[in-house]
Amino acid sequence: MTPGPSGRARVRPAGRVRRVAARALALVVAALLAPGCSAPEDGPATVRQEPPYNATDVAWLRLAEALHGRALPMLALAPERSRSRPLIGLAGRLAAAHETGRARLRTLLARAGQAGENPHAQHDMPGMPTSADLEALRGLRGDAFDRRFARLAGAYLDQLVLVAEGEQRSGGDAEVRRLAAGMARRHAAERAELRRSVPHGINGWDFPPGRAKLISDQ
Amino acid sequence: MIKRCLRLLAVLPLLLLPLPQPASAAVIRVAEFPADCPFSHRLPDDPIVFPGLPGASHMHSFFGSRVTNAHTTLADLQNGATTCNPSVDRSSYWVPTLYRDGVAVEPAIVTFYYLGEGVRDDVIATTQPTPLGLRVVAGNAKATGPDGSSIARWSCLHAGQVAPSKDFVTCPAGTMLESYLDFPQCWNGRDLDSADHKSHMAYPVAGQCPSTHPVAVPKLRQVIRYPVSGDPSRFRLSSGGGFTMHGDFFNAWPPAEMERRVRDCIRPIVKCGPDGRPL
Repeated sequence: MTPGPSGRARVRPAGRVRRVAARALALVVAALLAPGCSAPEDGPATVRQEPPYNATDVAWLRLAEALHGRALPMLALAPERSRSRPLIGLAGRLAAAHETGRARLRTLLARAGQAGENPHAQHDMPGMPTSADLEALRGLRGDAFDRRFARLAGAYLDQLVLVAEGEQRSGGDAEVRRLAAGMARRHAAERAELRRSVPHGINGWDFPPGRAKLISDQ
Repeated sequence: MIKRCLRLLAVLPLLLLPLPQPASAAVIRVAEFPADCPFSHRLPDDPIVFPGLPGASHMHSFFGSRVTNAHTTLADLQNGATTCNPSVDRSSYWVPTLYRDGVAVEPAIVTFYYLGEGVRDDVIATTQPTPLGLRVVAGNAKATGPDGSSIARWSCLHAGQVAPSKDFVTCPAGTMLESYLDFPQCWNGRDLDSADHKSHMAYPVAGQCPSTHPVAVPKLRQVIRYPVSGDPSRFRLSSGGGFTMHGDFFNAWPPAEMERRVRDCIRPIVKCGPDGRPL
């Protein structure tokens, strides 16, 4: 490609009369189309949400719902592949709790007028196990499965805590913020339990304070 | 509001007077003005898709505004510094970060062209300024392959023999991998954003804007050159394969500067420089 975005052509002053006419016509049309003539002077400053929801509420509800949905198939792999009783127990409780949490998120999304398909559902976001991750997990057993599973589940829980904290700080609706606060506490406890359930440590996952390790950016 | 319309109509006769001629005998007949906005910073944030949720996004490389993060508002951009030439452009532009062998690579050249092309000349002549505060996402971060669902294209700077592709291409040594992405240029005339951050804008059909999105605004063309070449299997974007390339735009041009460029460069179909004057 050439550096310029498009081709070029030159016009001579002979084209001037036509240009003047075209310009006048353009201005008439422009005056009629001008925002001040056809629409409110001030557009909405943000995406229009059903009050009292703000853009953060909707973004968090969608992202948390998508994260939960993508983690469930991973959690379902543990019973047949892990040999750690605590890990199998935790995976089972996570699956049940996160199924319930997901339903709660969906209810609030519907209340916010966002009942349609979740835009993040089919998209690899930080914290989500990818289809390659799931494929790899399916082929593992015992300690190898536990280590890989714990790393992925850890990244998932880290991300859930991180975004729930964002909602607590920036969300608009009190009920959504309360849900986020409860989820942040619960996910932090689940993260601690996951850490205890893998006695030999988890390679590459050191529970960093603050920002979660972003698995897609490793 | 009505007064404003009458005022606009009142000045029309003045436009029929002879236009001042540029010093040079000819102008370049391309409706265009650019902003060159080099890399500013990198964050896993997206104030359009995940406002108020720092760390929620895949990694983004930000151009233009130096202050953009998950919490950024229009006022933050208007009061913040920029990397852009012209420096009056306080807009924020961002894309998924490119990695080579897992190491982030930032572009060497980043240009945002504002263009008239894409609609008929008589429609170009009615182009309206891009509204202040407009937020748009173009391209498809969720594309699953180099098919119809992706819009961005990849090519090589100074290697036109390499056919453009929706996925990464193999650029000869000494050339640069480049990405082109055109934003939609038809606005619904009402919303500065929408739930999917796309549907308040549309692409033109058969040289004009559809009735649902009747207002033609300048077409934003994002052109990014990365100082890399060679084997595409070494590259990935934070959002996935090359076909997931997308761009986010948060407009913070001062309205007077945007209006002047639309009036002097886009509507009369004249190629301008970053200062918004004919070249």
